[in-house]
Amino acid sequence: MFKKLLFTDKCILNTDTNTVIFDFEEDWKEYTKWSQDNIESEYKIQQDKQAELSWNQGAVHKRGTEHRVFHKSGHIFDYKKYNIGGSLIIHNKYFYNGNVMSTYRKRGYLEIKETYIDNGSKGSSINSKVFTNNGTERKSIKYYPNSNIVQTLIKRLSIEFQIFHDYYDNGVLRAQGMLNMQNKMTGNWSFYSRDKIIESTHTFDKGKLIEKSYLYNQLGEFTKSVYHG
Amino acid sequence: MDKLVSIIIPFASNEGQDIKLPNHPITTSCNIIYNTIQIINNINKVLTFNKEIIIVDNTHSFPDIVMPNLRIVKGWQALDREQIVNQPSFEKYNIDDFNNLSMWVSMAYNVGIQHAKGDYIICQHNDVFYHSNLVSRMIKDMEINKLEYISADYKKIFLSGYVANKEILYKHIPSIEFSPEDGGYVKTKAIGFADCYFFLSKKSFYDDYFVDWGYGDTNHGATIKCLDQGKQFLHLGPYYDNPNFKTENSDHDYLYKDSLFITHLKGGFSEDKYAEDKYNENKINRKDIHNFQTRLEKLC
Repeated sequence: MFKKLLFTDKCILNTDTNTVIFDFEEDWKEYTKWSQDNIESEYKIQQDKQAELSWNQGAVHKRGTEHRVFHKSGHIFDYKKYNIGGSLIIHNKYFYNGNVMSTYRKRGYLEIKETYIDNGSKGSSINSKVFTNNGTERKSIKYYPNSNIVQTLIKRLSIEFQIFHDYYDNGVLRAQGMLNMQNKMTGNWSFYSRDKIIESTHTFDKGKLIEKSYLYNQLGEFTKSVYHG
Repeated sequence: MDKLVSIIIPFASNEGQDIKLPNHPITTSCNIIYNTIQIINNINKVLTFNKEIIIVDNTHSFPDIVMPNLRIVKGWQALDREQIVNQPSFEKYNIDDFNNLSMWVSMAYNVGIQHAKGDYIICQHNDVFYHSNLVSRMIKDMEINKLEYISADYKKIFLSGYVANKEILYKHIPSIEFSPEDGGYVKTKAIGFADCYFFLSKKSFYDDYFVDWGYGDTNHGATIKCLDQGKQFLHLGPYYDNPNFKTENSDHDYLYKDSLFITHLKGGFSEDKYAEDKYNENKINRKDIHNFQTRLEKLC
């Protein structure tokens, strides 16, 4: 078996004898024959060489405003891009297999962070997306696994309140209402069935049920009210 | 074990009878009859004790077939209103909403219980697959530990379920915290509700109780009854689909004393899942059905 050396193609390491063979030596013919007879293995040792070059002992590859760091596997695991002023505008992280793990980017005054789930050979699927402005969360979205379908959406409305939407995996609205900034349910809340039919309505104050809850049957007809005080 | 166990399985399909689903056109079923027969085969093969299997045919569309230990009884859903009202036990069940689909599933259990001759009753779905014959051991344990029932699925308590049973539940969950996700639920590991995926009890459990549709198409009322009467029960884990608990997979395998007992294949009698329009348009349901059929074939 052979191993390619990192910075030259004019010699090769024979890993069985642990000797370096140069292209002017008689033994080089042995390598070229092996290479022709073992195309896949030749491709593999070329890949291994490229991976090790990319890895570069974990050091950063800098090209202009872009910085890249690679896994030992040769796949990128960290990518950063800066603007001319030196501020970070893109920062992506990757799983060991090269699938995207998270992204960060600046769009105007907004910062957008996304996280992903690793699906192996199928790539990554989005898990969450958060929009912030000066460190304040403006909107956050959580997705159903492997689907790109929104599960929950929280949007800041004011310094006190945020609106919450919950969806079924078929995209139908499941619940909506307000949260305070401690994520406690507050104000009027409505819950719906998978068929878009009202199931119940409630009123909350800082996470506690107040006033009356109204319950409905599968046809959306009122069935019961419960008083909470 | 010489005691007779009655296994009650509701069934519904659209093949022979129209079922009006809210917001749905009349739909047709896929292989629900075939799948139910496979589940009956599985029961006969794995559960070797003295038993009867009662299919409660809610849509009067299950084929008139003969299988070992099988009895097919007619459910009430396909009857017209007058026939239902004239049933001798009608008054017992407080039916005031004939269009409630969840109620007909619960009522199928009640009809099955009426016909059951067993000392013990298992209420289950037609998508529950048995891996091992642990029921005899469970019955012994129920007697030793004075358990009123053993149930699969430690369901989270939904907000509406909590509200509807607030007076009793409040005593057992003193500190209430709600999450708005998953349809709104009570954040607690302290307590959950039973379900009819698999529900084992003595027949006498139903002397002062019936599977009450007011609690949904499940068996939450059984838990409420035990809490109210201060009696013991056991819920089988892992607790899938419950955000209060983390599960490592979504296989819906249930264990009893560390042994694999059943798998809930999640593709049973729910007509909604088999609705043709959803089958064609909704990739998620199509995937569910495919998964269910693939797993059933593999297990059988």
